[in-house]
Amino acid sequence: MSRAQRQTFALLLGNAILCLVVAQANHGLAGWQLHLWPGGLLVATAALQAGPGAGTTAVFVAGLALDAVAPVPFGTQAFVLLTGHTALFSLRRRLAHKATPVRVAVAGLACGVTLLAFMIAVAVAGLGRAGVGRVLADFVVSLGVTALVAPWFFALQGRLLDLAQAGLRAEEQWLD
Amino acid sequence: MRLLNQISGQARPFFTLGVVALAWLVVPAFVKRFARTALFEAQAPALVTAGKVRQLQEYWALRSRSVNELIAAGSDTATALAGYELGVARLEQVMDENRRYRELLNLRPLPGWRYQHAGVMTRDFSAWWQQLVIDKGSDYGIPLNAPVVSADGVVGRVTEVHAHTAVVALVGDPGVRLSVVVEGDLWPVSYTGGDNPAFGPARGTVEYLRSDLTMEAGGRGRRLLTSGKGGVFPAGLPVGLLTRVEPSADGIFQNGEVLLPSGLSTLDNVTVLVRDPAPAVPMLPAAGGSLP
Repeated sequence: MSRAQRQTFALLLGNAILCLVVAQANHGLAGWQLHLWPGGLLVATAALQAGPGAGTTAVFVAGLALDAVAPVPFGTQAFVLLTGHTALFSLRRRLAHKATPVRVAVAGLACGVTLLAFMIAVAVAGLGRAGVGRVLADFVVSLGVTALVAPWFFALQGRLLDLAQAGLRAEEQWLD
Repeated sequence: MRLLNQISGQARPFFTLGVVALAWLVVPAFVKRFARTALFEAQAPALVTAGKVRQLQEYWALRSRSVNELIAAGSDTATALAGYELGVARLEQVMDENRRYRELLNLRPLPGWRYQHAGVMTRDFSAWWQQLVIDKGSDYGIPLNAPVVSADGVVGRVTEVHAHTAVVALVGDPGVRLSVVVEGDLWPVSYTGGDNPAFGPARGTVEYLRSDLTMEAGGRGRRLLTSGKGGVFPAGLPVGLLTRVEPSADGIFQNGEVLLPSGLSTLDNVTVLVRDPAPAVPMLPAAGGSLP
């Protein structure tokens, strides 16, 4: 198995764990009519910790997995996340992307941008309607949770990549 | 040349994105459908396992209760059961009468229903959708669009059926529409799921209310019940409370706001109503409900 494939599988495993945790959190938050958006973390880890091919694949598959359990056309969230990943990846070399505070800030920013992009995609496609107050409440909660969870998730992805012997060393040298 | 290379290097991710988007557009629909189902089924065991772990957690939490608490709970249950037994006896009598009248009037027998109880594995209440994943699917004969109810009344309807799970769109989902009646009235009106604000119970809206319909002064609101029209939900199931009415834009009808039961967002168990080909047990009317 090539290094890129190992990297992809490591990222996919990390994303699967995150999606499961977020699904359980959303189950609990349903009582308050709140919903966590995991887009920021999915996009930020792949864009800052992986190579272009592995990151793109991992984000796209994670988006498709989210689409599979949501009543939106298959591919909607996948393309929203993929676009976010592409934009962030192109900015990576200008960011101090190895510093945890920067990574957390990028994850928070990605959370807001991808949620906004999803909102626009849903509105443009006429897939549903949502109150602005509700979306704002979801965004605030998602941002807070992203900031809290991001260091753990970056560490988890880093450890999984190390276990798969597919860390970022080569790409880091190439990018920096 | 170096600048051109740099620009092309920076544009490469966007070029890849464009290629993926174009490729996605030409992927046949059946491939997408298959991929969606496969990804859902791949996640289903994890969702079901997490749900079962939660149930186990609740079980062990209940095991920690003292014997005195359990005795008190058992006593309460026995009292409630006695009340229900009386109710069932009375209901059977009413059903017999109803059957006789229908025979005398040469009316079709009412459709029968099979009650399929299911556990809620995941609740997913976003700003755009409100849905549950339940632990029964085509393996238990759950059909698409089957009504789902709980002790509070209508929960929603089945929107997807998988091998061992099913997805239920809640009555608060903005995409759900129902034909309902105001309790004590026969005029059917259209109910739609609402915006569902954070930190509060789900809401819905109704359209085409009669212009002379009024709210009871000082009351909490008027109950809305399923009308039985539309062929999905049986008549007489509580949907929510009509809390406010206002004239519609055309001035002919009224629109209203519906408060849904707060228990909808914390459901752990639901019942799927599966139409039984052999009519045996008609759907029970809700207490005090009007049956059009």
